[in-house]
Amino acid sequence: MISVSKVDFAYPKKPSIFSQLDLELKAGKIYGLLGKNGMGKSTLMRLLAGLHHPVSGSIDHDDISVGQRKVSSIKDIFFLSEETFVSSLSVYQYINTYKKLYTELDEESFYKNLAYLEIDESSILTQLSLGQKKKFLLSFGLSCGAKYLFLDEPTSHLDIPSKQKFRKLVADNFSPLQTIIISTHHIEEISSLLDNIIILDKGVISLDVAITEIEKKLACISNSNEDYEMAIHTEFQLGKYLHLIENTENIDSEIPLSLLFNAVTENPQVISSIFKN
Amino acid sequence: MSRFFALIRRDWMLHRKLFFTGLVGLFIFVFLVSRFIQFYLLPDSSTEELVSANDFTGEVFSILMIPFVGILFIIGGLITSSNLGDLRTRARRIDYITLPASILEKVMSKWLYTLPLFVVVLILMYLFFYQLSIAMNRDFLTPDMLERGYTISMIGLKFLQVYFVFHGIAFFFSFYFDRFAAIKGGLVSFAFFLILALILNLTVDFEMGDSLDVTIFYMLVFIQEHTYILMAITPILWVATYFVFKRKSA
Repeated sequence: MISVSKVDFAYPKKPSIFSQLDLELKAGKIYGLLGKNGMGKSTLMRLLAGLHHPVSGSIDHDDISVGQRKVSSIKDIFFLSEETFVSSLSVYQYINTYKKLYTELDEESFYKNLAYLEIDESSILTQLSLGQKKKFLLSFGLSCGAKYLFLDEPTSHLDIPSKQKFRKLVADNFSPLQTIIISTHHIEEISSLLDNIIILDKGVISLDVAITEIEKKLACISNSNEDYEMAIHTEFQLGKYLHLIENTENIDSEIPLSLLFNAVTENPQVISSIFKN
Repeated sequence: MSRFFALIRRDWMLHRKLFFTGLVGLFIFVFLVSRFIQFYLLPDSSTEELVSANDFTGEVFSILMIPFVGILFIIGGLITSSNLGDLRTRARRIDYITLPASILEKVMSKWLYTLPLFVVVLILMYLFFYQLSIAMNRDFLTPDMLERGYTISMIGLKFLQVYFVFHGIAFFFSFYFDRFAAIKGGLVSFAFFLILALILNLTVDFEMGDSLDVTIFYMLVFIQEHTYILMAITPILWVATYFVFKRKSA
């Protein structure tokens, strides 16, 4: 479990990004971290992974402060950053070199994932395209035995079939001991994977709920009318109006996460009060 | 220990092509530079008759020392400052910092490559060229000249002591600055030296006068005569480097 308690953070000589931030991320769950550009998603991911140190407050991985940089904690972390780096080694050389450091690496699973993502085992990593590099790192991350996987925009640069494969790969490799945090702007691409969503707005967590909870508390009505009395938020999508409403009548509907995201960023208090009730 | 050796192996695997090409490049460079200086820059040295007559061949050892001192400080400084590139970009930094090894193991592995291994390789190269020079000039070398060669080699050891301190400074700045560590570290060191010179200039009376260049001259003489004091300070820089990287890693 990752526990964030009263965290304050600011980059040197920059305004504060987080103030008194509290968050809890449980094992066995996949979290989607959403937010507009510059709202602190990547910073939060780096804080959670121990790559930044909070000004005050604490971030613990299973009750051990991530800031201590204990080797036992570091080996539980895999961070796939938006800008990828791979060394000029072949896949074999990379695995033979890194398996001495990642002692929990499951080689069989790694090569299976790699084959599934159609990356040649004899490839030289620096010669791969950006999307292929991401696929390689993803295969490694899912097999390296890390408990906490931080995936920053994992589907960017992936082609359409690879995005589908990404979802299947994560779902197949995910263990109940792991926690995966995926930061993305392409929420619909990964919505089927998520257990929880966290929406970050101006350094504040506007929403942190389970997907199942969203469908209980909210509903989506579509029609051709722009006005809907009970609508919290309305959007025009694909020739019809989508209205997000409070689900007081147990309506069974599928809520597009982009609709929810826009509603939360527009009316954070309204949405938050619905989930508090 | 296995993690430490895994880091050493990682650096070797990642940079072995660079190490090999660098080594070959240095061999060619030293050979060409020493040949160039010996045959083109030093007067009369191209004539065997004159060489044998004026014992000028003895200069071969001084000539040999020049490229090695240059390599020691320039290449050594650049390699150390670059930290083998692992902290150069954000993506590389994340990859390195998230490697499951302790801060000490990471700092130690970089230290091992940039100081002991680099210096040992350079000494071995020097010895190779030293023997090569003796072999190539066997007909002209007298016992006096050989003794002079030995003396010059011992002067090289003095340069190694200075490099030891120089490395400590470059090593510290390689972790302190993310980018352009060689330039930034060089500027900071130069500024520090200059400020120290100014302070000494204002506070100490030197025998030869009170201008800034006299102070700098005295400082350089002091460094040359008391290198061991600076060498004793160097481990403090290593410890500081450890804490700088520890702070950066979290």
